[in-house]
Amino acid sequence: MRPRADEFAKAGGKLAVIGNGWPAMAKSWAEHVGFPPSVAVLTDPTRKAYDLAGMKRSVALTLFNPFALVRWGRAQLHGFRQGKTAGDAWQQGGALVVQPGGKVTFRYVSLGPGDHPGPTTLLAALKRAA
Amino acid sequence: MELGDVVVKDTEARDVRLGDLWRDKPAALVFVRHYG
Repeated sequence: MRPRADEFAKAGGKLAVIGNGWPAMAKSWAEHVGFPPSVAVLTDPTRKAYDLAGMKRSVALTLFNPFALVRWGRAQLHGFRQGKTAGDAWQQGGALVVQPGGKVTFRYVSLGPGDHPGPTTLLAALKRAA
Repeated sequence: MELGDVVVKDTEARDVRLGDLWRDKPAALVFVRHYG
């Protein structure tokens, strides 16, 4: 997502990346990834936003998920390496696009590690919402 | 409680109300599994 992060502002929207650790973890990670200033890097230690957004939390989806192994292998081939986990290891991710007024026009609920919408999909959803 | 009312933290531990992110323009929210 980071290489195309600037495109969200150019498309007339806002990109926010939300994790679930402490603010210091978010800060360290944001500096490591190198997000541009237009991106809001946030953290939700209580995971209230994850719950209300409909994201899943599951040990089974994290550990016993053959699709995740395939995605992990693909990521390795492309040179992506996961660092030390900081946050809730069982929490799954996802994505939303929300219009002014609060209407959710796009929702993606991750079913395991590596399962997430690509930047092209998310940008298209944002442009439709603009 | 609605999603827009949730208050999260930025990297400096300041409160951020999620609804403020999409007050004037659409927002894409990416929920990561964890940092790292």
